[in-house]
Amino acid sequence: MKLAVCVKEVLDSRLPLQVVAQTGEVAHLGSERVALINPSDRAALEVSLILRDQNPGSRVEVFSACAAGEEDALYFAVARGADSVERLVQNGHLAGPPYTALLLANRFANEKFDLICCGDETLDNSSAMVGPLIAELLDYPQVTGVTKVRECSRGKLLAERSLDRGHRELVEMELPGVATFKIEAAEPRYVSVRRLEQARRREIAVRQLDIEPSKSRLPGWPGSEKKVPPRARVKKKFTPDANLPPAERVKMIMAGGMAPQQSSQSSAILEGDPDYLSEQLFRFLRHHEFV
Amino acid sequence: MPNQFELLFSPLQIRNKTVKNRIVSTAHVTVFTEDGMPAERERRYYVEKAKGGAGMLIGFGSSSVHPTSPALDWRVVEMFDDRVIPYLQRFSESMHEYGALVLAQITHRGRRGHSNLSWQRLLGPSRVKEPNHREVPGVLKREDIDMIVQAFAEAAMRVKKGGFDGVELSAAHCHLIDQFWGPHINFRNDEFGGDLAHRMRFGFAVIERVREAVGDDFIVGIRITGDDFVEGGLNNDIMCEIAQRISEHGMIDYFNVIGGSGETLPAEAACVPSMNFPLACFSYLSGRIREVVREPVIAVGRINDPVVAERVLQEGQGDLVAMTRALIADPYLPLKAREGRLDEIRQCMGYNEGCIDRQYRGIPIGCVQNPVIGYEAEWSDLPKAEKIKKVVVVGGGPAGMEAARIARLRGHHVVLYEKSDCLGGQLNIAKLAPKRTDFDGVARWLEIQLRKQGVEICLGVGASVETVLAQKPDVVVVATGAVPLVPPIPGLAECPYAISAWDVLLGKTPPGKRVLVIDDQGGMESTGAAEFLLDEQREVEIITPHYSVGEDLGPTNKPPVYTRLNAKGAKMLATWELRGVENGTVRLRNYYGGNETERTQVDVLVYSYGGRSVDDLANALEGKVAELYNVGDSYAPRSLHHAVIEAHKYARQI
Repeated sequence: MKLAVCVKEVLDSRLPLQVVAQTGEVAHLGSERVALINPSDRAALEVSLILRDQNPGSRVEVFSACAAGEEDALYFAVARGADSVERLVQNGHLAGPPYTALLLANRFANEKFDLICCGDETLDNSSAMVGPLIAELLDYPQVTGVTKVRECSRGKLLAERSLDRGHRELVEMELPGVATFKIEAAEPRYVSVRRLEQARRREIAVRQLDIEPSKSRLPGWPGSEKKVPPRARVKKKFTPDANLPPAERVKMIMAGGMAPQQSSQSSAILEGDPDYLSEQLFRFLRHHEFV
Repeated sequence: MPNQFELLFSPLQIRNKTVKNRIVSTAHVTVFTEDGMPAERERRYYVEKAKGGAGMLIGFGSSSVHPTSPALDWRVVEMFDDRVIPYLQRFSESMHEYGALVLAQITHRGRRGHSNLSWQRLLGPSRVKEPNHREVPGVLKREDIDMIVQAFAEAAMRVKKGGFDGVELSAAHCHLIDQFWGPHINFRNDEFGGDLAHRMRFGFAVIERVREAVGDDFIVGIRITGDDFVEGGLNNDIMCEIAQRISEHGMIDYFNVIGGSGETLPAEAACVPSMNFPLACFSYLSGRIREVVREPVIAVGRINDPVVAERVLQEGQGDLVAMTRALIADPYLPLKAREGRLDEIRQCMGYNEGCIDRQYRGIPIGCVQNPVIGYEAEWSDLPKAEKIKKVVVVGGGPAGMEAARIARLRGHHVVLYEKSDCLGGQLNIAKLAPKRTDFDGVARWLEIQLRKQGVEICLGVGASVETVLAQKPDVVVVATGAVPLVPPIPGLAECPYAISAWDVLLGKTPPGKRVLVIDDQGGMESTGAAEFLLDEQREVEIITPHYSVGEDLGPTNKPPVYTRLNAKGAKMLATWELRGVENGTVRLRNYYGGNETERTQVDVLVYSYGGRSVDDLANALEGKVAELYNVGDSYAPRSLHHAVIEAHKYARQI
């Protein structure tokens, strides 16, 4: 059985977050960005890995439509034992769940998978659109909000999906199809720190795809236009005095803002290998009691 | 790192249009036009930039709005002729296909240039010649001014009819609009001269008439300098005042801020800062302008990679970044940056000899690193070879590496031999000269590519005929480079204190205070070596048979080099050649008069006569392999540009 899992990394919401007023985007408050795999995607991944173990000869391939540097979810998948991971990049600049779905659907149109597993919704956008849209774009059957897989074999998926007030619905779906999973569908397996570290070193394959929204049946999406960040404040920079002779001004700029004559008195330029430089720097700091 | 380029790849609204990212290719002369029209070669050159993902493309460095504006010296676009409209339409359609905004720069150069090509008389605000071109203009009469203002509006309309998104008025490089602004150029006593408000009247007349002609749904930007670096000229304080007034006037949609001016040679060199300048060296100018205007500002000047660009944006020095030369070196920089493939970006090193310094000489631009520039129609695609061959490349300099790269990309099996323990060849010497470190980037990029693509690299192997033939190659590319040429001048070869400029840079100079540098090569070799020795606190005199030291240095390289040589106390003597050396005395002869003189008590004699080809292997392999190419300096010692283009050209034939 060939299983595809679609994952995304999201900001770790256990750290303080803020909404940037001008753009409406969420960012970490003052600290560095810390990302993790979207929890329901994690469940989707775990379900696929379990299915792989139950059906010998199966493969789990993990995909993420994300920018370079947003591969945390893919590393997570590698560490848990995904057979392959791939980062998908579009040729345009379209953002938002419909385009993510279009990109993923384009990928799956080229290569057939028996079951495409997605998270039910993401922590950030919460649109819950990507999974269903992939199914629509590929003309596959779909089941959303799966909480438990009862059986998956012989071209069929038997699963429980969540309804209101804790009720469950038992659904049977023909494969190939798309399923989206709730967080409670599976607990992630434990992996050692060593494996996590090894996964980080894995080179992630990138595939670029052409997507043409005009030729697909995509719904409108209010967030599809990229937000414009606020106008950055001007940081004061070294500016030579306008009354200095032009040749002096050019010399200052060529010297990177340092006037050569003055610099020889108040500063020194050191050259050499890093060991030597760090030694000298340390001595300087110690000498002037900075450290 | 996530969101590494948060601002760089965010859109920006300019009037009625949205630019998809902040990367701009600014207007520049290409010398690709045909009969004054932006034909196929120009279009193909820009298509690559559009494909590569740049947000905004400003075309046609200073296209002429009127026949009185000099246009033939750099073969700029003749925007005063309706013939141009179909060319513009085809051009803009191609750019829009890839989602780029496309604008055209229009200008009148006024007194800047020569009238000896078109025999159209030069016109300026006053009878003051430009120090750079030194031709005295006639004074614009009232009716001439009206005529030129009208010509601006008509040219802007042609751009609009050509399907462009906007037009950029050039008021930089000391063209007519900023000639009117300049208190040192404009001595008129009518309403167009006097105080700043009057001096700005011509520019405002142009802006108003252009806006009236093109209407509200069309971008009109302006290119200004932030500081012209000219005595008594438009310094940063005055330019902030001018920009503020233009902003308050409210008809301009963006400001494009350069440093320098075309007026004097040092200021002209600053306009397109070469590797003699730090990165993003003029962002402080755009930053200061940006503080006083409301409209978006383009930061310009040696912004050569996306990391620097993002920093300029984050620090508020601009809303957009001009990466013109960076996009010449690698038109696909935006795509590669967005996908996080930073090490694949071929970084502009600011050498300038391939692009702007050719343009200033009126010959078509190229790039010393990117051979495809100007040959997009022929070379932008690299088809796979029909028959896969075994290729042996000997020599790991730029020619050998480029040949290996192209051969490998075409699917051949490539083995590269390099005698020394690192790749780079002469680049490893060139980069040792003061302010020449950026040469290192050329070899770095090529090496990364070779290793990524799987070229087998054998370092420390001086390949002989046997080594090469043992590989049973189908093709051999010899790129064994050159060594310094020692001409048969009496006493030179035997002289113990004579040393080549190359060896100077490698730190092999014998001790001694008094240094004589003979500059016959005319490029960076001798000036670099001289500066290297000046930094060692030696006394240096440079002597050349040419009209000037560093005769062949390009117009953007010579002034900074001269500035530093002067500051470091170099003496220079032109039109004298070396005749002989004996016991600390160096005999010189005047190249024109034939009379002789001498220099006594010389401790070190540095000579720079260019290279001598190392072609033994190429000669020995003749007739022993099916396909043999000798490329770069081992064929004939020339420039980096020659080496890269030649290697590229022949590697495509393999």
